Amino acid sequence: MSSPTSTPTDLLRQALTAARAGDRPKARALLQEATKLEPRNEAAWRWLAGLADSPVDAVAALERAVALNPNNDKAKAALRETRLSGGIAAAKAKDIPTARRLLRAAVADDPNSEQGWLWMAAVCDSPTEALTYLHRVLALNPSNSAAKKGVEYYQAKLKKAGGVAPAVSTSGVVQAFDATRPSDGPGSGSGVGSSLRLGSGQQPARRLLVVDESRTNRKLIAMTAAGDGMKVAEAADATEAAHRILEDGPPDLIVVDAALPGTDGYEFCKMIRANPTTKQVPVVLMAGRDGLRDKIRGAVAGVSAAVAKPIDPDELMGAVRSCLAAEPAPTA
Amino acid sequence: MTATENPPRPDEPGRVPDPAPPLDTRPWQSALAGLLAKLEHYRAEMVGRRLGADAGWLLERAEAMVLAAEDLARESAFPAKLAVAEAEAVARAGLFVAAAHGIRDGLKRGLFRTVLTALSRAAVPSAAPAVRHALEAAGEALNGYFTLFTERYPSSLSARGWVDAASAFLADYRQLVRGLPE
Repeated sequence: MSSPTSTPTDLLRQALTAARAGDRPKARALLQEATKLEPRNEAAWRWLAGLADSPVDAVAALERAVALNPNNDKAKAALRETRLSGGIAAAKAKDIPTARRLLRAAVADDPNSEQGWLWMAAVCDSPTEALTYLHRVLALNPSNSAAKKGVEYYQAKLKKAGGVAPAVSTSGVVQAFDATRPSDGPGSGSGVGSSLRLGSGQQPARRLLVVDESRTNRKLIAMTAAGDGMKVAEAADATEAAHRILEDGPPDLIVVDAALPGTDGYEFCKMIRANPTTKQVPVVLMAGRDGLRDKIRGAVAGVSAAVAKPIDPDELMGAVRSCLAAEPAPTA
Repeated sequence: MTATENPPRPDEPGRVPDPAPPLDTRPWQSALAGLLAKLEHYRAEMVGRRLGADAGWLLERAEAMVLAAEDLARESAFPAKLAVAEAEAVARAGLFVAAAHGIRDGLKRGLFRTVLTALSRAAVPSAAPAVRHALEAAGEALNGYFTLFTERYPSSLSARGWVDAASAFLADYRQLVRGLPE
């Protein structure tokens, strides 16, 4: 299956390839090996649970995942569902100890699970205990016909045996199954937000204005331009760009998306060319297609250079550098 | 997404020792910018799609995004201390792929079932919630790779531009997935 020197990452990559090819048994075997080598990979346990060939195995994998990260609500929800379905499957397969263990955990997870209590009644030791669970079901749903039939059946069985049926109270069961559940902690948000101010600060930096509705594109252009020591201002549309220019003065170069909302990139470029303070500013246009029509539209609008989308940052910066090389360097 | 989130783990056998921190981060920055440009292009194409009607298409796009990140991870050399983060990212990618393939298998069977249920006038269960769940898993996988990529920078200062851009992308992606109509 794998070479003796395979790392968990190698095994996971092979499992990924197998999963993409639809080979579940191979993916499962590789994941089992990977989790043996690295048992602290929570996502690998969750993945293994999804590929498990029995609900019992799935529960075991999910229990590992939840133990590693008790705050993972998705894993906890999956565990709840799988415990119940696994318990029912085990009960149907007459594996009573497994059924009891899984169902007990399922009703502890969700004390309002009618199905969970009903199946608990089916796999418990005594009619008295079964009646307690069935009354719990009826407390949740008085019209549950399976529970009603079950109560009749077990009461008759108890009478026959000379026993006494328990009172219709569920408090004992509630206490018995009020297992302590791990409380949800604060969400482990993985936001990576931070503010960014670019520029080398050693010599007058070239100032770029990036006009693009996509925040990601603006940030990635800022990130790439920062490598060249440029300062970047951002605007989401033509109006915001105009405000930027009014506040900060004309930039050394403008990078604009052709598909801006409202005034599009071509119209914006025409406005730049029509304004005496900005008419000399080079404009690099990012167009959706690399077609002749767009080139003609760009030339008519007065675009200095155009690059196709999706952006190739190196190509874009090449265009920016070429345009700036043709312009005099800033003096301030 | 900081360098301090993962506790130190013992090095795995067979991994190369940590190389000296690279002095020039520009090639790495450029590779990440290229990846992010591609991901943003895919994300923008997903805007306006419907979870039910476009389920297959959306899942294909999300898979292309995750595999683009996986390709970059596979082609890049990471120091041994990032082995855990790398394995976590690949496992998250696997979780997404498993979910996406499960839905696709269901969609293949769906046509026959739709005809049957239409004949029996029964309600057709919607795949939309499962598709949204799978797209969220793709976001988790991308976040895993982004964390790994961030930690390859020699310092948090040198990673700031990338962190800013990656954060913006993830926020927009999650917002898009939350808002996709059924």
